[in-house]
Amino acid sequence: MASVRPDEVSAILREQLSQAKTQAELEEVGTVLQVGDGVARIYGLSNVQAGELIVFENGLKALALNLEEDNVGAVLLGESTLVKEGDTVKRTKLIASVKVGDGILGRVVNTLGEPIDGNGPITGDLYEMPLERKAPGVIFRQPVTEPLQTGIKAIDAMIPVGRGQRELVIGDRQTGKTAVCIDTIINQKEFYDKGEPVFCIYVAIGQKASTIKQVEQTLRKAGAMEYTVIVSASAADPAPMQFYAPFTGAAIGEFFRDTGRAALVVYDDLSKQAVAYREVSLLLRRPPGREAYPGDVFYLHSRLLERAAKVNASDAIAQSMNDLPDSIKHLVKGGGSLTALPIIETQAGDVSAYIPTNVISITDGQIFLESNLFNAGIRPAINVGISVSRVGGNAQIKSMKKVAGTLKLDQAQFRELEAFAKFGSDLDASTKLTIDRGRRNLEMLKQPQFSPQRVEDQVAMIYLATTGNLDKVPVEKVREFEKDFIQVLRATEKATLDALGAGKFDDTLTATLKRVGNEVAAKYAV
Amino acid sequence: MSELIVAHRYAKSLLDLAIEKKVVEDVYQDMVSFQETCQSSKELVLAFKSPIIKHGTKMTILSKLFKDKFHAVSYSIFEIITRKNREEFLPAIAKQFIELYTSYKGIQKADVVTSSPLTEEQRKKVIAIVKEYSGKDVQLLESIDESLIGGFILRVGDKQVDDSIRRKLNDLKVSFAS
Repeated sequence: MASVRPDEVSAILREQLSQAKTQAELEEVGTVLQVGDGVARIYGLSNVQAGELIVFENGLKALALNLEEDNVGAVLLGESTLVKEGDTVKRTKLIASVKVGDGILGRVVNTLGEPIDGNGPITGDLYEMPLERKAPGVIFRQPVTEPLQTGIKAIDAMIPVGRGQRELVIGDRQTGKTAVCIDTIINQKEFYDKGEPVFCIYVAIGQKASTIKQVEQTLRKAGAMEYTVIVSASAADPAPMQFYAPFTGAAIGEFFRDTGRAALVVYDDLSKQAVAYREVSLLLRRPPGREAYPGDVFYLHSRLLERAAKVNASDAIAQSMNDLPDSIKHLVKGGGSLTALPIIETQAGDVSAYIPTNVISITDGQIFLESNLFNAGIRPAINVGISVSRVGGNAQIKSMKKVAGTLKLDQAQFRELEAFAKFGSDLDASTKLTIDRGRRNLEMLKQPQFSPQRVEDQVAMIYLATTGNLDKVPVEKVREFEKDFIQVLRATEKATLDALGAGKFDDTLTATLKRVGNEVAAKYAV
Repeated sequence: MSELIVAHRYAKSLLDLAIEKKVVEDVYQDMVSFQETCQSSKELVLAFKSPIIKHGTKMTILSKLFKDKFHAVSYSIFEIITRKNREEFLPAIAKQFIELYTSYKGIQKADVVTSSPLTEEQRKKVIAIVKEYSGKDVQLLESIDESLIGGFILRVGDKQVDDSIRRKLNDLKVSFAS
């Protein structure tokens, strides 16, 4: 590498110096009365607005959250040791915002949208997106009709997620909540390669920095970082940074949503965000409520999740959307969507705690993960019985809808009869058949981590399972059979798969599936 | 906070009474000297705050210190306060009264911080600027802070113009660091 010449350095410095403003301006100021625990009390700033960004002399930013009679309570977006009593604070007359552009893809950023992956500044055109923004109104929305393929059979078949939906992923620790969401992100590679990308935002709140790094490595290895942004607010970051991180994720997602593209945002996890918010609220001396959470913890989550939306397909309607930031007004297109997958961690399966019930009531359905299923080797450990998707049904491709209807019923019957399975041979033939088929379905729905499946493969396999074509295959060989079957199908009947993927479903297609299925099954028959 | 609300109430009624009796200037002088006394004697403020010292004793202290020097109207506030057991608010009341007095008189306070003393000409200019900005008579509080290096900071209420070399250097530092 050529060394930098001294004149180059001074030239750069001179250029930067000339950009610095030397003109003094009239500014509105206040004085720090008290600072500590990430919260500052400020005297003055009499015209400051709630949620306004204020800045200290050393460049540290803060948000004015409490406007009281004789002081302003502000949360610091950084180290509180950098601020002293008596310091001057300036108003910025701006609300907190992040700079977003296509260049942010593949990067790891903090709550303020600043890159923290050491790869230099974010390149390309950047647009200011406010952290707090009202969700689009009813007129600017459209019903959820397009599927968001998660690549997980159990979800895509029985708890389908649509683009623009909010689907909660809930479960105890170590049940694979993050894994489900990471798989979903990885599965979007297919669409990225096809040129119809679903941009993904993974918001890590209060996690270990090592875990966040691991997620990044996994996504990078799978080639998923090209269309993904990671917003990181690790456990070491101040509480305000942690509770604002999901809003940063939503702001980045809205950039893609409002420019007519599809986006998916994963909030991992909102229970930690609620804890961070509780911490800040108590330090601001807001009155505590149930479980010591402040009264507006419901609003915190509802206003965040309302921002997930499917925008009306018409450009003209989308352009008149409420609360559009000026920076992206000229780029607005219709038909974009923002899907949200919030994660909630429960304690010992208690879904009736405060935060889980709140978020369950806000979202359009939930995916329940259970540790006993996980330990029984059923992974993903989704409890299909109590998982629902309130809008997803409209968002399945036709072929999937056809085959999944039967699967859902079969599994419900199987669960009812499962208790009798212990009696073995004492059962009548039809009960035995239901149980046998249920076991095979259960085996078929198992899926290893980081291996999402294409929707056409899913349809083909579920069709075989629900029509009894797997009955000859021993339960323990089902997964092996599946691998074989998909491979043969891909090699010999590509057209059939493509048709299934396009949503077609007719007798010729099913006949092909049956034929290939029986050919492969013959190898495994006992 | 409640201290401010309480002090504001008492200060406002004291000002109203003073206006009615046409002794505003006297009361103002008394309050300024009371505030100075409080600032110079920390023990006095602590004594007001102490719950151990009886109200009678506090009244005795107040009467010994101020009875002869203060106008009857100013002294009356001490009597009421002691009767209501609110002695701890006295310094805040004095401060509030002074603030209310300045706004009643249409006086605008302005702080100016410089690195070297202002010349007479500069002082006139600053006063003219503040007068034009606020439309009120100006009470200029000057202070000297050598760490500014050069230039000045002018602060009127919540508004501030910072044209010091220190700020410019600091801005440069911040812009280079980010």
